[in-house]
Amino acid sequence: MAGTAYRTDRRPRCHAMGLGARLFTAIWLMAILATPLCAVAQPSPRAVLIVDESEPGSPFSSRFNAQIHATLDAETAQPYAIYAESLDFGHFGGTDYDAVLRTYFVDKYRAKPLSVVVVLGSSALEFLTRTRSQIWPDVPLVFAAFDGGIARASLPANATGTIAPRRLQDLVKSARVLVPKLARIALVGEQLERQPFREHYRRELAQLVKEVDVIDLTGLPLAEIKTRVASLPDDAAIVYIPIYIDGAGISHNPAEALTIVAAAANRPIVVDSDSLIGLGAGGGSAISAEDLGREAGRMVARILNGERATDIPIAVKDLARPIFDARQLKRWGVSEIALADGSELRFREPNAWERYRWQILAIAGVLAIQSLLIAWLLYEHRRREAAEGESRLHLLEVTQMDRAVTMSAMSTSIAHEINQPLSAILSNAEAAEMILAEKSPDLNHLKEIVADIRRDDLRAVDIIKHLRALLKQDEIDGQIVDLSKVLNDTLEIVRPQAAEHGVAVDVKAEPASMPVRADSVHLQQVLINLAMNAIDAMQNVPASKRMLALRINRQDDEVMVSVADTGEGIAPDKLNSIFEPFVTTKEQGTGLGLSIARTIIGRYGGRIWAENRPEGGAIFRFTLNLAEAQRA
Amino acid sequence: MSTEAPVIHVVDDDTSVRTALGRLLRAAGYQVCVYESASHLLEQLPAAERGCLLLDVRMPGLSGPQLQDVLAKMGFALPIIFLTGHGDIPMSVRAIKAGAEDFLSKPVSKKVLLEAVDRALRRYDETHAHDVQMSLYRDLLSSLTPREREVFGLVVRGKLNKQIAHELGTSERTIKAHRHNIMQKFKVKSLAELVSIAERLGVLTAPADG
Repeated sequence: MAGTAYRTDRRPRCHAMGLGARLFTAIWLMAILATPLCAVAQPSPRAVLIVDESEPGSPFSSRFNAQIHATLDAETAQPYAIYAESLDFGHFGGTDYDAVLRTYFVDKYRAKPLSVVVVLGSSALEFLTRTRSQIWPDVPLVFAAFDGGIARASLPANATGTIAPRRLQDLVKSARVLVPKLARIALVGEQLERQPFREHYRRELAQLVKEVDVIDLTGLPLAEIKTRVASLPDDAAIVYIPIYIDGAGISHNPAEALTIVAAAANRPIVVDSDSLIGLGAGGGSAISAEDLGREAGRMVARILNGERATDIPIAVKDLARPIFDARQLKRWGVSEIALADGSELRFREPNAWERYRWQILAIAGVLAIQSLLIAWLLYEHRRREAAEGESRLHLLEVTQMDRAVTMSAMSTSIAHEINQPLSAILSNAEAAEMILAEKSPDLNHLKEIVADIRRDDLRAVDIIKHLRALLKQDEIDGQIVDLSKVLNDTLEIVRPQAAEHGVAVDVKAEPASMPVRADSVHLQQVLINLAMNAIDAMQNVPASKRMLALRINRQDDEVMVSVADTGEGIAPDKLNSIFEPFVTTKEQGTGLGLSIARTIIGRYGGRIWAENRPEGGAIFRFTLNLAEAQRA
Repeated sequence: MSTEAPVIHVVDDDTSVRTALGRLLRAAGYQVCVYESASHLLEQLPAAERGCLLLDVRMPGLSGPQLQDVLAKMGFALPIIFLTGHGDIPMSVRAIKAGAEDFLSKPVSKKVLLEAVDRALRRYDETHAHDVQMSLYRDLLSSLTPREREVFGLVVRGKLNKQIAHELGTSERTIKAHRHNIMQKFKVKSLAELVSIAERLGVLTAPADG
């Protein structure tokens, strides 16, 4: 085209200047031009373009780019701006595409001078090498590639980078983890030669076939792949080569294609890209985009900071790591322990512990405290039971002691009672003797005397019977006694005591007998205790008003005995506590009588309680079950 | 001594015992009154004629010993015999100290009982006789003339006739005559007897001027 390149020697008149004027202009121009340079400079951000060979939005390149950002933030103070381009060599290629790209890049970045171009992938690198002279010839290149076979010699000038080799044998290693008895590899997906960035696997295949059989299922249509992978032998694993275009010429998203293959496959799959983990692949070998990005980013930073690309040596870093999907491990029955150190395990469901660590700890803490509490309570309970047992034992001892005391008191009382009839008998007999010695003894009188003697003798016999009952070694359990009779017997002792204290006694008993299963002495103990308490309660009551009322009646299956007094009654809040040991209102009281009574009644399965009478005074009642014979 | 049979008062709450004792004592020739409680006795308080009390110890209401106290306060003078169905030693000691005649245990045989009653009646007699005697002496004392009284007081203090005459301002002969009258009135033959009577009357402890 017609350029403006030629120069004329003709100088237009108006431009003619003298030397001084030219000098002045030059200085003036320089001053103007130099001003921005002298001002506090805000240099414009350095443009960093990342060119990656995969499809737009590929997860790997997104993470790679993000890492470049992060690394530059960390490693350089230079302001920078990042641009990104995806070449999508999976879907597009050929010389025509080259031309399109060339024009596109040149036009697009004409006004945007680039400081560094980052190249991700060896195909992209090859592309830029090819087009170096046309596209950004002077811009330093930083590449990141997976292919260990990059020919150094073919690298452009002003380029440096990191090679992180991706090896098929790493894939096979991971496959062995998934299939311990691995004997076969099924290569599934796109043909290797169509994928420039995996093409180097082919070189490894030659070595690989020495270890395992290789089933070549590459280049098949997806439909057929699905069938073939469904019937693989048990000692096989699948190596998935991402499918961009399948054997039938249909375009696919490599990730989607993987899910379809995985759904159909009957063996584990290994992949070489970590963005494919989680789509059904069991594992594989992957290079972390972050690691690679960090390496590349550092180099970019160095260049931005002023170094020359040629001064930065090309790095070869083994960044490949075994990577597995925990869910697939579970599916194929592989334990996490089988993984080598340095393996990455994805989709590990954080087990309950990891997810809810604090909640678990809190709950565990609460449980621990609860357990401790329960243990302590159990301990206390046991101690308490032991103490109660002991106290019951003591109470029983005391009951027995009280029984002995009662018996002793009763026997004294009985001895006294016996003396009365015996005394009367003796005096009667002696009187009869004297009358008989008279001249004409009064026979009627003698008859009276003899009758009296007889009656008193029987009375004495009765009393002896009581004594026998007292002294007999009784069988406490199983013995049936008539509570009515026991009450009557007890009255023999109670009445004199009541009389001594000026207390009137009123007894109402149902005529029927009331058989209960209990020891008669125990029952007498209770009755005497209650009666004596009642008598004591009426000490301060005028003599004419002292009344001890005893009732015995039957209520369904039980017999109830009531002992009522006309004393001052019991404080309502003490109606229960008076049955506790050592609770007494008497000055000289032991406080044991009622608790012994309660123990005894409780022992025979009855109840005992106290009430206040509305007309004043207290009434103590106890119930006992009637023995079977009498049950209605 | 009265020819009437002595009266034994029996207090016992046990009917059989009371009846039997009554029979026995009557058969032995005594008169018997029976009471079923101490308050019954106090209600029907008998005359303190010759006799004694037979008290049960344990009774409803007033016990035997309590009745003893009440009777003592009242000045009721019949001797008391206790009968008890218990062997109550402390009580028996107390009762005896308080003046009871005896403390017996039931059952009591005729022999023991009647001996005790006998002793009780003798005690009564002694007390009674003593009382009678004392009352006699008091009458005699008050029957002395004032002058005789003075002389009596000095004589029993061992003063000689001469001294008494000097003190009272009369002659020895008058004193001798008074002395003779006094002895006659008191029916004693010796000074010693007179002194004894005077002592019993409490004259000796009175001031000397009679």
